[in-house]
Amino acid sequence: MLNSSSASPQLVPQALRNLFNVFIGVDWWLLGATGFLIAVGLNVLHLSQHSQGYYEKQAACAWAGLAVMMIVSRINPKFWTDRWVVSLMYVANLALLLAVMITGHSALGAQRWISLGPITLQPSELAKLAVIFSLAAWLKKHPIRGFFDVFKLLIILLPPAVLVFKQPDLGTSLTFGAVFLGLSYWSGATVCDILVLISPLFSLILNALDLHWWMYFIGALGVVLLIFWRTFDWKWWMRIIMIGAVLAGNYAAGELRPHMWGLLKEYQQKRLTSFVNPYDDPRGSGYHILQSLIAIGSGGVAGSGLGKGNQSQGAFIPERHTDFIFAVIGEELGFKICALIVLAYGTICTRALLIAHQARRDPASAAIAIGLLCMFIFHAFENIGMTIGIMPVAGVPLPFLSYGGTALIVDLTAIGLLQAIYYFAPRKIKSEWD
Amino acid sequence: MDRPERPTLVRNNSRSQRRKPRSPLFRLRMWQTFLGLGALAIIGRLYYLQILQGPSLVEKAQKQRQQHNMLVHRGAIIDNRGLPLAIDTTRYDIYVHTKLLKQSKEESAQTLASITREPYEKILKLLNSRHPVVTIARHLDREAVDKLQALNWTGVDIVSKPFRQYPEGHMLGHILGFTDVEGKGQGGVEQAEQNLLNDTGDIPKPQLDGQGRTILMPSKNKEQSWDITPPLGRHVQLTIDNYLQHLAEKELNAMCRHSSALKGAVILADPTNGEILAWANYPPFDPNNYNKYAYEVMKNWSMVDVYQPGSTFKILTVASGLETGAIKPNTTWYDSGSITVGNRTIRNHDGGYGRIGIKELFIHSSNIASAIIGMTMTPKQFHTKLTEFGFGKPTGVGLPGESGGILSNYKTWKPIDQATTGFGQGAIAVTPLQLIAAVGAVANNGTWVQPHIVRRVFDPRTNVTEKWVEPKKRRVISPEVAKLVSRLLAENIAEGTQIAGQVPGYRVAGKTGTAQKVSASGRGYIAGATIASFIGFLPASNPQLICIAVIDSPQTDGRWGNTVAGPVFNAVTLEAARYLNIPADYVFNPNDKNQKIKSVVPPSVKYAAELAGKTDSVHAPSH
Repeated sequence: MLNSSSASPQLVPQALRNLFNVFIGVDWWLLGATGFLIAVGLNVLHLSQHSQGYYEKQAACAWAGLAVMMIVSRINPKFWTDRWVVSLMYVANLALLLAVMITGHSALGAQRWISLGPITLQPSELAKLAVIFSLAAWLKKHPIRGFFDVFKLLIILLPPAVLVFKQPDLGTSLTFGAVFLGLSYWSGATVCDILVLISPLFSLILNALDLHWWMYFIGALGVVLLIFWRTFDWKWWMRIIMIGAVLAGNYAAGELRPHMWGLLKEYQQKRLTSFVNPYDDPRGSGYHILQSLIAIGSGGVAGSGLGKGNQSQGAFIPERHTDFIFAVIGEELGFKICALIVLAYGTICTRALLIAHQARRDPASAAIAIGLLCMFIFHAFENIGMTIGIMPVAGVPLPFLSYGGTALIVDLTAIGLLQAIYYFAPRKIKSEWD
Repeated sequence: MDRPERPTLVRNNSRSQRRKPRSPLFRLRMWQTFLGLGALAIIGRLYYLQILQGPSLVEKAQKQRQQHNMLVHRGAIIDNRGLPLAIDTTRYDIYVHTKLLKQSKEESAQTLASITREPYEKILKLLNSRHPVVTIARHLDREAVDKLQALNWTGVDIVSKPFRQYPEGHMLGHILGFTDVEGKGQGGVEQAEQNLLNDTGDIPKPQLDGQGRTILMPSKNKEQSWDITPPLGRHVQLTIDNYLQHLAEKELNAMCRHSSALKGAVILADPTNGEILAWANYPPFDPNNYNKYAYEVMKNWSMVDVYQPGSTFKILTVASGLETGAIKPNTTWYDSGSITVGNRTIRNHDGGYGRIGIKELFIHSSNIASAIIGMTMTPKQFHTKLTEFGFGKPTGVGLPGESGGILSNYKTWKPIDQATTGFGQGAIAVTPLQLIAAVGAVANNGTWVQPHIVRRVFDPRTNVTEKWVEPKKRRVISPEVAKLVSRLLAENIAEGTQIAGQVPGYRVAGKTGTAQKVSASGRGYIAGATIASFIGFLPASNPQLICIAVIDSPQTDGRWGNTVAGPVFNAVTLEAARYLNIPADYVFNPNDKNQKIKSVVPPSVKYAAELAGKTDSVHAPSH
């Protein structure tokens, strides 16, 4: 069968042939971990009380996502970073985001959804893919070879990020930030460059928490940059000036915090800081975190069984089908399954990393893989971290587990993309069928 | 990386050469380290939360789900037929969240004042205070709450609270006790059975979800169910009979008010099993308004306070003497009217009677003969018998604060103490409850039975009895002695001249007592003040009912036990015997003019006209 198809390559177009060979060149680790996560997510939704048909919708979206994944996994990833395709997607994405600002319908005080006929779409989820493609397309030609190159990426990133931030959707804008940092590092920025980029954020949060820690942080930052910042394209005085500028910027960020803080909604501000000590305000801003901690902790090793979590099913956990679904899993399935879930995300991320590494001869594909990797890492780490109280609360869905059709389809598309990159990556040893 | 890098599309200019990135492998390792640390952080934190902190967080979760302000009603106290004596109803507390009120302070105060009938100024002051939540009214009834709910104001919180009511008012008030503002039982049965009255059983309390709704709990038989606690404690059933209690209180109050007594008590019991059928105290106390009474009035004095029993105690002296062998049934004494013991002289109230036996001792209530019996026994013998009769320690009736009376150690007794104890003065002080239990032993063929007031405590849902009283019993005197004393006491009533114990249809065995009242300092007696009492049981041959009437400091009718306590006894026991259908053992013909026993006119009837307009100035609750 394989011989017959390879015997007449000209009769069937290569793209179509690839589509039929669904089981060839599949990263089974990636697929297996994804399947496990989706199975857990559907089970939790299915056995949840008051599920309001979430399970049915999510299952339908899982099927749709599966189809999209299979198609995408057989499309050469070079297609996505084609100049015209990427420009069209970028513009369409901006248009959708603008449309959602104007006509979208809102839920929970945020305007995120847009109705296209029978389906409700969340453009900020699609924006993640569009942004990753755009950055990858840029990095294909322009790798980062100096500190200031990263700001060129920011120019591409900012318009969609600002639009999403205005929705308001802090989680997605932070996802853009994570993708930006990851891609910068992958395509040539140094660790210290990344540190410089995120240091103002640390200054902001530390300034809000404790002024002493903030000053220690600025001092340590100066020392670290002096020793480790590899900026050999600069004269020594230029380097001193730059370090001074970074420190000054950090100081300014801290000092300006009370003013910049105003850009965030009040609930966002409280969420960002209350995770440090949720007991300060157990009925107010700390409530979500405390309830989540109590639920996860009361799961113990084995959990209370699906649909039998008193805390989860008892409306103590807010957003228990979406952002805080990990708390439900923690209570109902216990430490055993939670650890497996973390391992599954670890597997997905490790595979994505190795796929990117394998495809490094093709900078665009590798960049897409890294962008998707950053998306997964950020989503998984931020979401789980938020429910177990080690990260601030920000509305980020848990990939494959949270209820949310668009997000699930986008995540499956991402897996499809990774499979495509795995399949089309330039290899040292050619496949015996090619 | 043994192979040279393939040329890529990357521009290879001088600037990029100067800042060459780390090798791909280095950066791969950095990524992997980052990933590993992240996964480790999450798994470590999960381990901490779920395994190390797990048990304490489970506890926290359970605590959080429990309902804190559940409306739990206290169990009822009912009489031996099931009639309610103390019941819980629902009343409403009104809280106002001052910030949430949409109306002006003045307007809301006006409206709330008219509904709750609280003063306008007080409500306005509360509303203007800085507290976010103020309590406007407590224990509001349903009618006012309906009006308040019809307003439908935001910020007005109506919280249902249990409220204790005593439907019979002051009836049995001393024995029931009351519940304070926190719903805790104080005094009497309310305090004694506090835990059971509030015990809703071991069924788990309902668990609530985050929005305050009750959640379905998976139960043992795999079907989900509501955890429903019956929000009602255990019911306590007393041995008290509502009708007899009414009767006893009516007669006691009439006599006490007629004779302007300080206090009085009537206890009616079944000597065979120790059940107290009625227990009346004067002055009355209404637990519905407990805060308007002084402690002196609230306390159950016939169990808490002691008095010197006087002549009624001679029953026990004679029984002890017969039992110990100090006297024989045919023993006689010469009563000259006075006897000197040490440097004190004991006298009868009305001179000497010559040579007398036990029967005459009872008929004439001879102090001399009783003192001689007291001194004939050794102190140890006498003391042991009195202890066995239950003196010197609480009877264990099951109510808080019971006094054990005074029975000093026999080693310190002098002959005069023995002599005075013989006729119930001197080294002895008892409570009416102890006395009725002790004489009950004589009535019950020599077996002392612990008196008790709680018949059973039961679960109102299942009607399963969870606690019942098994009264302690002990043999004090032999049945022969008990029979003999009973017979002699019955002859005392039949052949004597007194009116106490003259109950038509029954042979009553009983003894009057007119004791001098000890002054409050404990030294000497109050001149002219007496404690009049009568204790007796019927029918004498087969006692079914025992009753004691004690009236402290009567001012009329010669202040005698015979004339003050006797009529109360007669009225109560006659009606009680009829009510309990105790077979008559003596044919009574009302038309026979020669018959000694006269028809009983109850004090409540006899003094009705006199008491109609009389206000009780001494014991009225201080408003």
